[in-house]
Amino acid sequence: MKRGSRRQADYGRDVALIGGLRGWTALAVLLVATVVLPQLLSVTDNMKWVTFLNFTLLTIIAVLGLQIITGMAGQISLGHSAFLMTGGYIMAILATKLGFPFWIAAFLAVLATASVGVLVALPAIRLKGFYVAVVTLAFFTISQHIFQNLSIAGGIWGLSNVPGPSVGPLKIITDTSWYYFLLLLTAICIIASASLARSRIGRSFLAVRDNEVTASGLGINVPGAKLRAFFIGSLFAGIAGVFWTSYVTAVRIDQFSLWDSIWYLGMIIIGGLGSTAGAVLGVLFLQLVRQVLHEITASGVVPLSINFSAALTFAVYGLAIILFIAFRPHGLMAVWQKLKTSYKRWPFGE
Amino acid sequence: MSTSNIILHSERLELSFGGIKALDSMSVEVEKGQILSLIGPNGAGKTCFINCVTGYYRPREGQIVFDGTDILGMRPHRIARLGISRTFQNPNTYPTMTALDILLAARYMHCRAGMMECLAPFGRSRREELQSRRSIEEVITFTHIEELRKKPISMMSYGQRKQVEIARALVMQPRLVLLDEPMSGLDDVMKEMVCELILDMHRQGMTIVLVEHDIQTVMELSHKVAVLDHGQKVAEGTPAEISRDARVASAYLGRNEADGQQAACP
Ligand SMILES: Nc1ncnc2c1ncn2[C@@H]1O[C@H](COP(=O)(O)OP(=O)(O)OP(=O)(O)O)[C@@H](O)[C@H]1O
Ligand SMILES: [Mg+2]
Repeated sequence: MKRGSRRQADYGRDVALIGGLRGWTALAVLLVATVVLPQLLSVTDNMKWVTFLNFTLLTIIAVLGLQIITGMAGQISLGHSAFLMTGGYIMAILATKLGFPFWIAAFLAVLATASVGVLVALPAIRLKGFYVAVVTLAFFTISQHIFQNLSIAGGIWGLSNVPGPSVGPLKIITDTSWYYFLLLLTAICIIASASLARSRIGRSFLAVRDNEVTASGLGINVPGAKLRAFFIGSLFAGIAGVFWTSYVTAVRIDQFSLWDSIWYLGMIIIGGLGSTAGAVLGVLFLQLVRQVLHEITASGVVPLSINFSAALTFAVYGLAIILFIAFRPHGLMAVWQKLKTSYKRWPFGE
Repeated sequence: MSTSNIILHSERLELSFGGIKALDSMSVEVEKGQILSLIGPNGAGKTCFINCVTGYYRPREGQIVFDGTDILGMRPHRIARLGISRTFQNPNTYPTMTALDILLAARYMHCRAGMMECLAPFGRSRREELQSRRSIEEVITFTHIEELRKKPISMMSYGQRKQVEIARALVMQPRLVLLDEPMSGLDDVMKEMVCELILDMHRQGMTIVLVEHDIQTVMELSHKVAVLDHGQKVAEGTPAEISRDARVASAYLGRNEADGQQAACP
């Protein structure tokens, strides 16, 4: 009863994305850390790590999109990297072949990707589970085929000289400036995704994922909700694809592979399905694992062939997923939640 | 429709599964603001009737008019948007959602924020979220599920799920609510509570269709009782008339009163 009355006094707190003094402090620390990170890394005189961070940020944006489609709305997508491919190629074509200014090209490419997302969803919404995955897989193959054979897309060589963005007088060229730019972009995407999760549309996704029959009883148009999930999810993927292409200044067909789609799925499984923070944690975790394995083999400390190290990476990835599904089905997010509660309850234990 | 007081009108509904006639020329009228109870033995077609009204089943023939709108053949979400909500006989399983989640999701129709607005942490979407919190808290207090707010529905007891199910229907602020055996499987205290709730809903002006096996409760609550057997309406009238009806007694009452307790178990 007491709880009830407290709640009635202040719903703003329930709705806030970041709660309480502790939340704001953590955010401030995180902000400072992310801002000074490249400065710290530059001490090593090795830009490799900033590049790594930039790809990680781009991956976070992409995976937030998959989290909406698969984690929130429950539609398994194996074709997520094809949305990045679509965004990347359309961006490159508009900016290099058709001479569109950067931001207009970027805007159109993102919008086009989201529309393609809806097109893919059209056959998928009539289907369930496994069959949705098959449709998205087919979509991946088709888009790969199209971009490979489209002359305006540069055939197997792809397109290069894709321009970078400029914000006002600032041109984003160096890795460090890209880092800050992508950091801002990622922050915006995280806020958008977290807002979605506590909105009418986000909740309609959850309702559809949990029970389609009762979802329609709530007045939710179930196929419509799935279309929306694909639209928003591929919108995020489009943003990631556009800036990925712009960051590496080129687009090629092997830039976005089926393996990437599968990594993305692993990231949301390990991070925790349906949660925005889970998507971020999952990306950070798997990116680090991948990079560390790469470092180990590249350093030559352990004499491994390139092929073997690639195989090892996949084996570790597969094992991590199996372990998470078996022991932590709600992902890193749940681990974090548990740590948080035991910290709050200390010294009383569980 | 004329300016009559009939809010739901179904006429000669025919529904069959293979050889079984689930509804056989079933007609019934529900007056605005009243409580109509549907009773009948297991398999009589009560749930089928609710499924037809809410758009989950499509009768082969007949007519269903809700407040002047022909709703036969409309999809469930459209019917829900007209102001009809229901509870399910077997409380639904939601693998991941908590009570709070499902109640907030049930506010869907009462919020208007568009897809892009929902991506912003401010503006209409946030205002509606605050409004939703306020109104679901009212329902939470009303239905006494304060303790269940953050509990995953998949971890609730049968009775708790039934409570949340009623709360969910109420959050939708329907004009007509169809309750499919809301009291089965509940203990006496909870049953009493659900009775009070139904009366409260009635006082708030909702029209209620109640499917229930517990005859005593039905007779106390209803304005009108319709008896179904093998998909046919075999009797209809006030509770007093129904308890006098010999056919009802033989077809249903006598048999069910004997194993009334048994019927109350899931
Ligand atoms: N989806 C379906 N497929 C086949 N037969 C069905 C289906 N739904 C209902 N039936 C049949 O229709 C008849 C009426 O079922 P209904 O569920 O409406 O009964 P009821 O009156 O709700 O019974 P109970 O008191 O057990 O809930 C039953 O014979 C049932 O087997
Ligand atoms: Mg039934």
